[in-house]
Amino acid sequence: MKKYTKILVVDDQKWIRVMLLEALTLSGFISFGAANYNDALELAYREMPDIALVDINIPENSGFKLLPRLKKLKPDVEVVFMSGSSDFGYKEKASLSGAIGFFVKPFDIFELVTFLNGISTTMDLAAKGEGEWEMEHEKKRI
Amino acid sequence: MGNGARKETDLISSLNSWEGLFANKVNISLDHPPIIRLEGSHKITIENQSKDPKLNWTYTCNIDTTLLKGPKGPLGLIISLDDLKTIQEFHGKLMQIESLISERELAASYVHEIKNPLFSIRGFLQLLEKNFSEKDKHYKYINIIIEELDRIQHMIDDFLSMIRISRTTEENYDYDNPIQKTIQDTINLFKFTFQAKDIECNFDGSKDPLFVSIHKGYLMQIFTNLFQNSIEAMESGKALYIKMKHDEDTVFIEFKDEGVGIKGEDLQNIFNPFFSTKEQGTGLGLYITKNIIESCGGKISAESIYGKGTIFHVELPRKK
Repeated sequence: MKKYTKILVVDDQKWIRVMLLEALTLSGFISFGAANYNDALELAYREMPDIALVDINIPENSGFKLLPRLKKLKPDVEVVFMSGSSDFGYKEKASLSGAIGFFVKPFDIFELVTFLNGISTTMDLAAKGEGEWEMEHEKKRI
Repeated sequence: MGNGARKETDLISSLNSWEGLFANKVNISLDHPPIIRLEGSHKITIENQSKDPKLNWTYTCNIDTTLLKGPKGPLGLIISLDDLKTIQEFHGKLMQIESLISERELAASYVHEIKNPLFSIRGFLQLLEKNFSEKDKHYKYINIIIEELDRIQHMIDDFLSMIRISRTTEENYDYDNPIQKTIQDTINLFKFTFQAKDIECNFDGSKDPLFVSIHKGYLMQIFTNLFQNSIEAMESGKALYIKMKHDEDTVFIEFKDEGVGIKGEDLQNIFNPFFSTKEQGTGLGLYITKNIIESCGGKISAESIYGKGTIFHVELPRKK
C-alpha cells in the first residue's frame, strides 16, 4: 500500500495557489493551500504535511520564518521555497535555513512535480523502518 | 607671509580690537578662573555683476568664529568656513539621486509583480497542454504561448538585473569570500544543468585565496551570464574550462567553451544592448555583465573561432 505524500502549498496569490494545487493533485499528491503565515501554521497543525511548498514573500511574516515553526511541529517535514526573486542572497539563505529546494517563479510545474516525487521517494525509503506504524497511523486518520 | 610665519600667540593677542566680530553669543564657563567663549556667525555673499548677465555669479559662504578668552586675554580662536554653494549643489545632487533611486525601486517592484500572473498563466497552460497529444495543433499553440511567456520572463529578469546594478548598497557587501568560492558556488548552482546536458565543467582555481571588491551577488551574476551563454552554445558531451591567473593588482579569469562560437562580424557587437544571435535572447545578458565588470574597474573581452568555441577574458581588480 502506497503512502500518499501530503503537500502544503503556501502562496498569497490565489491563482498560483489554485494552479499548484491542481498540478499536485493531478500528479497524485494530497495537497492543500494556505494564503498566509497563520493559515499555513493552522493547516499544518491539522494536516501534518510531509512537504511544504512555501513562497518566501508571503504577507505578515516572511516564508523563511515558517520553516522553523513547521520543523518544530513535524521534524521530518521537507520545505521547498519559491520566490519571484532569483536574488542569490535568497537562494543562499534558503539553503542555509535547511530547505531542500528553491524554485524561482515562474517555473515549469512538471519540473517541480519531478523534484517532489524525488523527495517523496527518498522519504519513503527513509521511513521504511517505521513504515508499518506510519501506515497504521494513516489508516486511523483517514 | 613676508617675515616668516607669525606666531599663533601674536595673531590671538592682536585680536582684541576685533572682538566685536565675535559677540553674537557670549558664554561664560563656571570654571575658575572663568573662560569666556565668544561666538560669531557671518554669512558672506560675493556678487559679480557684469553687463553681460551670463557672466554674473554669486558666491556665498558661512564663517563661524569662536574666540576663547581667559582673564589674561585670548586663549584660542576657531574659524570655520562653510562653502554654501558646494553644499547646496551637493544637497541638490543627493536629492536627485534619491528620487532616481526611489523611481527605480518603484519600477523594479512593479515589474516584479508581473511575474505572479505570468506564473499562474504558465502553470495553467501546462495543465491544459497535458490534454492534447503532441501531434495536436492545440498542443503546438499552447507550446508557443509558453515559449513567448518565457521570453517575457527573460526580459523582466534582464530589466531587473539592470536596475540592480545601479543599486549598490554598502551593507550588502560581502568581501569575505575568495573569488574561487564564488565561482564554485555558481558552478554548484548549475550542477543539474551541466548533468542534464552532459557538459563537463573544469575549474582550475589559483591556490591562494583571491579577493575582489565586488558584491558576491554581482560576481555570481557575471558568472551565471557567462555560464548560460556557454551552455546554450554547446552540444552535449562538450566541456567548459575556467582558469585563473593573477598578478599584484588584477585577477584574470578565462572562460573557454567548446560551443558553436561567434562569427567575426557579430563578435564586435556582443556587448551591445539588445544585440543577440539567439532567437530567444533579449540581448541584455552580456551588456549587463560588461556593465557590472566595468563599474568596479574591471574589463571583459571575447575571442572566438566560429565552429570551435569562445573564450571570455575577465579582469577584476584585486581588493587592496
